[in-house]
Amino acid sequence: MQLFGLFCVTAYCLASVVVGVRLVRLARRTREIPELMIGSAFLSGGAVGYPASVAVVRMLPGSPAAAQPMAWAAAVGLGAAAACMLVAWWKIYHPARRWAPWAVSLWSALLAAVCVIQMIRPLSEMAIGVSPWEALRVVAQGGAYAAIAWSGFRYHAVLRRRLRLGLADPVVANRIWLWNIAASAVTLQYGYIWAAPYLDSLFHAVSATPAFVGTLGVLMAVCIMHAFYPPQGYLRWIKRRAGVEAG
Amino acid sequence: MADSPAFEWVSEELERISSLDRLVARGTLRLVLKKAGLDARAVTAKQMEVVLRELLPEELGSRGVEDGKSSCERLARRLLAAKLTDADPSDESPEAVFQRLGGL
Repeated sequence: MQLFGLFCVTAYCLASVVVGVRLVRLARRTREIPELMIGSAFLSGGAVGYPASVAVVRMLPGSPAAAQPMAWAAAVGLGAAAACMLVAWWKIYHPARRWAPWAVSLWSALLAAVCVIQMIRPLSEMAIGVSPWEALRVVAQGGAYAAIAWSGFRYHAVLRRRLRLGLADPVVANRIWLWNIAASAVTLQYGYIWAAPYLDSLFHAVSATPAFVGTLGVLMAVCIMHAFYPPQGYLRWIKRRAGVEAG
Repeated sequence: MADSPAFEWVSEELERISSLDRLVARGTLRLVLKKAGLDARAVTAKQMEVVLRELLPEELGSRGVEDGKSSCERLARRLLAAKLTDADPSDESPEAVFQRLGGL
């Protein structure tokens, strides 16, 4: 189980670094915000926040003092990733809506508050499992991924109608779908981490957390690699399937 | 945001060549655009051409418009010949963003 957990974390971190660096480099060329935000979210969340949060759980029982900087890195990394995701959500799906910048500003302020709370609260609270602040963190950070996944699935439903008439690119539609799956997986991770202590009376939910979260991490890695670095065989399959559906 | 030039052009022509009044012509067109996953505010002439050929004939038939298929075919040809400018592309679509994200 330890090895499996290590494999999952490594797979997701590597995929995040590869895709994150390339998207940030793309943003330097295009000067566009969505790629900068998504790339930054991968780097701060997938390459810093996620592995740091795993490290905190591992280090906490043995060396709580050493775990403290990791906890700060996790708080800042995951909070920054969620904030980047919110800006991406606004710029991609609601660029012309007047309420969108206000919603993103308020939500980002909440994320900042959650980050400060996480940094000042005693690390020993994490060992207890059920914390009143955890629900706020899940809503603020996980909600950002849920928002972009929700808007993404709605947009994908529209694209599917266009695909039937040959009015959309099947590869782009598939990229959006994979992105939505990855964002949903992050939302599920947040939800499970929050719910695990409550579900522990039903099954060994807390001890299963690394396996559940890790499996979702691998799923996310597979999705983002196929979305941004699709193998040629996969692209051929997507196009062939789209041709069949379009008739 | 106003409707696109392609939508305005086709809805006026549809009203002129069929027995449909303005409200019904525009409503019918909006309905087929929705079925195609398109928006009246952003639809381009090229997209509208496909809608005219693939979806509108059946919709007109269900509204009792005779000879809908050939009318739509003529409309599609004239629409392309009209060389309308597309809607203001200042707001990039999510599809365009993800298209760009694939160009790593």
